[in-house]
Amino acid sequence: MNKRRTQRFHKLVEADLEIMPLMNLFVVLIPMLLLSAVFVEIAAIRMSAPGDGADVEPPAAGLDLAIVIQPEAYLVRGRDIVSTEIPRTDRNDVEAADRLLAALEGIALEHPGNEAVRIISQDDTKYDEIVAVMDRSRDAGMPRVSLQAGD
Amino acid sequence: MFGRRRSRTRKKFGPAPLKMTSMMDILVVLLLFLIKSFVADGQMTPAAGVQLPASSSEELPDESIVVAVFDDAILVGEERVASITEELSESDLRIDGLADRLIELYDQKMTLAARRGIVDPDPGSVTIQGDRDIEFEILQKVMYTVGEGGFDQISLAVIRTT
Repeated sequence: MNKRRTQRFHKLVEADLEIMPLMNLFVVLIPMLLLSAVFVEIAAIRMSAPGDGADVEPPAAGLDLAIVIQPEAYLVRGRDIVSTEIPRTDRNDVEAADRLLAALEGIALEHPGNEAVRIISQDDTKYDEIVAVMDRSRDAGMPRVSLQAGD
Repeated sequence: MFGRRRSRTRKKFGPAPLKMTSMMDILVVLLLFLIKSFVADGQMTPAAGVQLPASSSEELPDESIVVAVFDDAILVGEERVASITEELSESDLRIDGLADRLIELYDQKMTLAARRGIVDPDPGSVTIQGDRDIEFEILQKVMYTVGEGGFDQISLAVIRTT
């Protein structure tokens, strides 16, 4: 009798699961999710339009902080601050960009009310260099960035 | 005799069952990964050929008109409106092809808003998807032209770094 019970149990355990409906669901879901998947996250930097350099008057009051992007250096200048030149080797010089961040953080500590900065670029300054300087300004607590053409 | 033995062997073993467990494992992992990267609200994707610069900005882009600037082309949506080489050879800040298309889109938006009875409508913003290697000269011209087209709010699209 015991043997018969074991045999019945074996029959029950060996029953196959019906996985075809689940497979069908997966086959439909995966292409749908593939179509709507985003693998690169895009962010935005909101800002004001640039001037052409000729008609833009620097503000009469305030710090009027400006970062000039030159091929060999970043130049930080403004009212009531000592101009600082931060040398850099090339456009991907991260150490120079970090030194720029430190300089901007120092200025932000001395002038906590200032949130604006002008980024003055040359005609041939690359876009990623400008974005890197924007990032450092924002990180230093100066998110109001405007672009301007250099002399 | 030979056929009889073969059919008996087939009866004894039956059809070989497919091993589905490993395939199901793969599908479950794939499904979870895809659900994680699923975006329901139609997030902006970069135009083909544009290598956006990386940034630490965390602001999400709005649904807006997209101007892509890369290689030698300036595109509004999918439509090529100007050539970078030609525009760089001119001293004028205004890019005529881009300005004409943006003014057209601005007028369309204003007409639609007027039909709906919206007073003082917001034209929305323009998102610039610029390649990381474009020069400031062309970026400045594009931004100036976007302003000329009637759009005051400008966003620069970047790839978010963590």
